[in-house]
Amino acid sequence: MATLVLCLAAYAMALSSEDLIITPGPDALRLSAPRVHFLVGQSLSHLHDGMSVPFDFQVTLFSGSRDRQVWRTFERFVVSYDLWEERFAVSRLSNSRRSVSHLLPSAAERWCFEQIAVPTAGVARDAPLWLRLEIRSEDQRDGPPVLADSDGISIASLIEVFSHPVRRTQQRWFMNSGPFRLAEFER
Amino acid sequence: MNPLRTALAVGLCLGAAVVFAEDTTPALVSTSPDRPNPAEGNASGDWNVNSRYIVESVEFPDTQEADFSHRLRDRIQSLAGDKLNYAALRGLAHDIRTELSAHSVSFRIARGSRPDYVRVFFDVDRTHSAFDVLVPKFVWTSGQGWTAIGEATLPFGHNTITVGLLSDGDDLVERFTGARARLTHRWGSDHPVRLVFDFEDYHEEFGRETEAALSSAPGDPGMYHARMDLAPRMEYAVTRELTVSAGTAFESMESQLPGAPSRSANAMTAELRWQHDEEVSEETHKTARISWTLRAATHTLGSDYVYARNELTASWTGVWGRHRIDAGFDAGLISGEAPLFERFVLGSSTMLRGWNKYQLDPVGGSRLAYGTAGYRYRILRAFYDVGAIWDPRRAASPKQSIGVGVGSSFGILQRNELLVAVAFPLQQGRMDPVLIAGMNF
Repeated sequence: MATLVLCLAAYAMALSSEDLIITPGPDALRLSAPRVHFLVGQSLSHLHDGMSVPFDFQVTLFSGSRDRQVWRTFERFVVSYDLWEERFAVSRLSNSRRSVSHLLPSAAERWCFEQIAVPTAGVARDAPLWLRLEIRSEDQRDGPPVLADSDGISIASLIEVFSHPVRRTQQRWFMNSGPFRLAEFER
Repeated sequence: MNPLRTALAVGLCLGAAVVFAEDTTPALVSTSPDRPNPAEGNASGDWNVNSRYIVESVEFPDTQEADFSHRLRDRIQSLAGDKLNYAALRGLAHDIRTELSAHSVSFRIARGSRPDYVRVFFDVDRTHSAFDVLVPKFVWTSGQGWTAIGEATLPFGHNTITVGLLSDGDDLVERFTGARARLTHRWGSDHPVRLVFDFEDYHEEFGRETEAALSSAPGDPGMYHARMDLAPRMEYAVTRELTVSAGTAFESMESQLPGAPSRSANAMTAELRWQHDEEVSEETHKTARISWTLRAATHTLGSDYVYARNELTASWTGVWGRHRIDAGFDAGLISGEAPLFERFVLGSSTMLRGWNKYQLDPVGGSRLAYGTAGYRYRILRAFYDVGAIWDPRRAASPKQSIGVGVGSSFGILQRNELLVAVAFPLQQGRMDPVLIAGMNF
């Protein structure tokens, strides 16, 4: 019961705009987008063909009139589909590397969002904020893999990914949320 | 009977005889599920959950087995029975695309016939490869003019025919303009033999420097205004790294003097080629090449010229991500009296860059020693060349040059590269820069 109450409270404090939902945490904002599904279409087809598909996430926090970038991060998740067990596996390559497996599609997508934390330290409580999330899939069939090496992928590589326009072989999702203030979460 | 016509007739007959051999065996490489698993695991960086499964078979639904070289077939067979290695599959797809000149090669994985085994299917798209037009070389050098080569290639069955038009003022003493054609027949993977017919027909132009040099020392080698060549040869891949070839070349030159008879340089040809590739990872690989070629013209083949031309070439390339180092060496020796097109030249767009070949030696040399070293980082390039050409009666005078440039496909030229470089011949007291610009040189 207590868990249910806490969940409802968190839900009530969440600020939703379109599909991107922001949930406050102790030192960071957490993201979720239950209505957004990126394991679909061409990417899903490649996964069912036994290929791994990298998904690149770029999260940017703006303040003021959306003209000042407060914080930005990049993450890469590599998704694959177990042909025999018919479940998805996901590896997070940037920052601290983690992996999960035996997931249904929605759980695999949710896990990716859960790995992203937007730190709030140093951000003015009353400043209007906007959050932007961009997801791109990388099609490995049409070119060499962008995976850097066994140590994962560098931030510089991901910045390069997002500096290029979306290619024909890529899928892209774009979400915005805001304006909101950190103080609104504290009421 | 004119030896050139004889060779042409023999060549056409042989070509017609071998052109239409086909092997329709479907390509399927499989392994028994009970075959022992080498348990080598996969290359690091492979994040696919299916990497733990074992390859049951590698299949090519739309491609015939005989289309692959034996070297490629060895690699395909080596995949079956091992754990699924995506890096190896990507490398294989790349090499298949190169060897078959295919538009694209992709692969997909499906469940095998029993748990923990998977089947790999390669899809080779050759729809765009039936006819291909290439620009193997296009270069302009300040002071020496331009060179352009255009080629069209048409594969049919086990054969490939290539027809090209060119005007080349870069590689030889003379500018040669005209057409060339090559017919190649390749036997299947179990017989790594290729039969190659080369045909060339050129109009020749000599520079003022060459004409002046030859007029002050009349006699052989003389100038000619047209040149025709037919060169059949057989190539055999002894091992994955070593290829040998042997053949003949029937060259006919028409004199510039009205009424003078044409002269011939008919030679036996031989070549040894060795290449070793070492792929440490997807971003780190090294390639070493060594080749030796011989052209020996004798009266036995009805040749007016009698000579032997030997050339030894070695190169090494190392790539570490965006860094690349190249090194090369070339040595040549001509004994006897060879025609001008056989003589060695330095001061081109690829050898001893920055020097003018006519200033080095307007008639070329019968001895060659050359070395080069280069470094690339992304699109930036730097190089150092050193070399000399000389004759027995003239001492060697080594020359050096350095240069920098940029080269890139700019993401739109696919396999082609645009290159712009400035080369500086290192002469005492002065440096006269030479601009070199073009594509694929």
